Amino acid sequence: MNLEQDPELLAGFLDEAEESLASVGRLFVELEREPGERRIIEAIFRPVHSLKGNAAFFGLMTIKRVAHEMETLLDHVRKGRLSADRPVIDVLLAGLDVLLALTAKVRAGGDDEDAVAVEPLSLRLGEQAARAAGPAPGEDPGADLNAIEAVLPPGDHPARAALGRLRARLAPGTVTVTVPVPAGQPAGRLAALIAAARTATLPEDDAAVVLSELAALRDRAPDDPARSLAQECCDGAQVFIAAMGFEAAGAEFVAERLAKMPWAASPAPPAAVALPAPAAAHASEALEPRPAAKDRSKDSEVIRKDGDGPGKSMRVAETAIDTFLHYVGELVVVGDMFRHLQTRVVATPGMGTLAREFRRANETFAGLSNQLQRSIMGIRRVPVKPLAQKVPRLVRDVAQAIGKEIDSVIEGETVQVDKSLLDLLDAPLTHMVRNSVDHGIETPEKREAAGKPRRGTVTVSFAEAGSHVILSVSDDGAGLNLEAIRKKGESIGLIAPGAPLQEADIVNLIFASGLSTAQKVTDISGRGVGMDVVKRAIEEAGGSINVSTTTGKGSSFRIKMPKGVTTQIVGGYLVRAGGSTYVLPLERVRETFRARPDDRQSLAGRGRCLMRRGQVVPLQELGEVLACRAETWPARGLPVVVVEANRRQLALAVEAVIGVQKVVIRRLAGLPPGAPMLSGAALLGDGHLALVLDLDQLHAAIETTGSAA
Amino acid sequence: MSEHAPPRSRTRRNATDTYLTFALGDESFALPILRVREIIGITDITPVPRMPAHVRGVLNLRGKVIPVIDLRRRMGFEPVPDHKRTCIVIVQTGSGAEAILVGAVVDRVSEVRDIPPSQIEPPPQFGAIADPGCITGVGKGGKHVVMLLDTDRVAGREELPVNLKN
Repeated sequence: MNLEQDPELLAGFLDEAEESLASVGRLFVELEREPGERRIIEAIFRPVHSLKGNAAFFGLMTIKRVAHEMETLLDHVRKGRLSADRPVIDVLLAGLDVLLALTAKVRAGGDDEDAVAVEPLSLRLGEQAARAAGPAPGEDPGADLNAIEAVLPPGDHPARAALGRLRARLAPGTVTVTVPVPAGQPAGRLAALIAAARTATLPEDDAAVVLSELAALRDRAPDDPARSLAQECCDGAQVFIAAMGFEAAGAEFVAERLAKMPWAASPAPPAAVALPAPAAAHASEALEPRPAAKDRSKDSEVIRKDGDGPGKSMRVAETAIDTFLHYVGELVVVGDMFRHLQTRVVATPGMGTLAREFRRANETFAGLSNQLQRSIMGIRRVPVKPLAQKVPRLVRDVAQAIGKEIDSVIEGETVQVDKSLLDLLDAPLTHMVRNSVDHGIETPEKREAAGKPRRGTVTVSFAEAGSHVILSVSDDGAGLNLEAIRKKGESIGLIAPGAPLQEADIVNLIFASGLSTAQKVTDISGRGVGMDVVKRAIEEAGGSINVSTTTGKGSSFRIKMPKGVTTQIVGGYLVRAGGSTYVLPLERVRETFRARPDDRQSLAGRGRCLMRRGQVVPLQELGEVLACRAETWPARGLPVVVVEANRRQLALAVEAVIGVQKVVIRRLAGLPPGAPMLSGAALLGDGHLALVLDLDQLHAAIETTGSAA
Repeated sequence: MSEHAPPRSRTRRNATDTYLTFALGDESFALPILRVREIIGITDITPVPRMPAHVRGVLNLRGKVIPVIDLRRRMGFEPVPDHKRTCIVIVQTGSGAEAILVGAVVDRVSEVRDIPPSQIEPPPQFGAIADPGCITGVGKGGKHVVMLLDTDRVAGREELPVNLKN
């Protein structure tokens, strides 16, 4: 079996590793807050441990080594020999970064060698591990072995042989430890040696050997008594692994594997697999709580769920889904072609029956392609968790770098969004969180002086609102310094000095390029690039961002995105203007009505407007804006479409309204710069192209050119 | 073009020396054959507003939206109405992930022709050509001289700023 060469297995391993490592980062932050919390330590320990095992399986020895060294340190923490203080957490987080970097390197087709990153880390891990107190009394693994031996049935049993081997390996002097230490650092070498000697424990391979021998034995059992004996041994061996303390996670690792084996599906084994479960059931009050055991029984439940029944899932390459989505998009266009043909067939004399049948077939087709579209969108939906779980770590790192004390709160991490939103929201979220930590929240001293708690809080929440998802980042800091923003805006010429501005207008200045009010530029923020980029990216994806702020109380950034932003299939509102057909995004169209020539009113030197429901709505002739072709207004008037652009209303007079149609948007590539008012081209059912207008850009162009009218 | 070509002495032809020649008015121009994807007849072109005059618009090439430029106007010739022999040469500009197809409207496609480097002279100073930088050299050897065009430049990938307000 040459598994390490199976790229699919490797990809699966990398996915899993990245996923589990991503979840670990935030746990470290929690651990720092509650250093003694076993639940958290166990939760960190498990993924690191299984990474170690799996990495070895794929021959990724450097990853294995780093994971092992982290595990060693974690074990000290777990056993209470070392407290999870800042230096420990720092080095563990550094280790996490190295692991992520290494997995990324392997994913990119490289190996997992990176001496420059690994060796210093290794040294630091060793140094921290060396601070650990010696093993507590009663932790002699030999004693555990004796206890296990007592449980084993008498006779010459493979488990006994395995125990013997384990004992031999545990005996002082027989453990061979290779300690990689950078040359020329004698102190570090000593530290690393001490650490390694203290923590040399059993490789889980040995535990696996015991278990697999036992399992094989049981499977070979000729009769029931023999089988139950073997089963007992299995249980015994698992007790052994669990009793080893250090190997509790190892046992879980093995148990997980066993649970996936076919034999585990037979009625008896679940009890065996989730062996510590009975203990856990009673342990909660009586014994020292064993969260690992508790978690484990939960995990094995998950495994069973994965194994059968409706919860079954599979890994699919993202590109495969994207391709699928693309084809579904094509299908929608074909559907429109059919509709187009249908109207022609219906209009052809003597085609009565055929037309009816055609329509029926067409309707079925449209229904199916709609369902197909909906289901592919459903497939692409994933929880925002990967995004959310980066936040605590980010907050911690930035806060520490600048000497602030900040907690992070995450809400709604189970909210589901289209996969593409995860990538899209990643940079904005990072930016906003950094912003809140760096600019929003005050130093502990300032906070105390203002009568607030020393520790600030950054809250990141995800929420669903109809077809939109809302991401908000709030802080309980000082709020935006409006005066500073205004000054800065004046100094870089964004606004005229002393211009009468509303508060909201000043707040919006933070989205202008080049504006940062940080007193000095730091590594973290303050370069004045960012909020404008964030805003642009979000608006390009059809979303919006806004800020609210209260002086002294804090600020809140809110991003609102359509959930299904990836869909290139959109509702289009087709109009005719300047001799061509254009598509307006349907979601932006507010109303359509016919305006007579004398409905137009002149705004002194600032173009024209319409009165609509008591509101003044600026009026533009679309043909004039786009093709410099003024319409001649017939006495009966022209259709006017009121759209929302830059959160304002804009009335567009057009030659004709063609109707609503689903369109597939294609990117416009290769045109010379200068088409900013277009977001793409749409393929229409009849094979023609229509340009899709970017209403915000259109609005901006009208504003800057002054009214063309 | 060459599907009926029997083995002949020219089979050693070097594709990088091969050009598609075409006419704009009375003058002969050429694009490297390696950049030419296909040639189609004149078809529906959707005009794009606020574009420089030489941008005809976009067309739907089997589901792909590609920009179309009018090579006459690009080179500074007077526009003429499309006619029977007007065609669109689809060329690839850029390379790799940056590769984009662009259509170029020409008056008439002439032939595929080898122009070895020895027959290429540096471009002379032109007075009438709008953007002399488009021309990489002048090919001799045939009946007419042929002006060799830089595909990326012609397609406007490094377009000069365009004043949109007019």
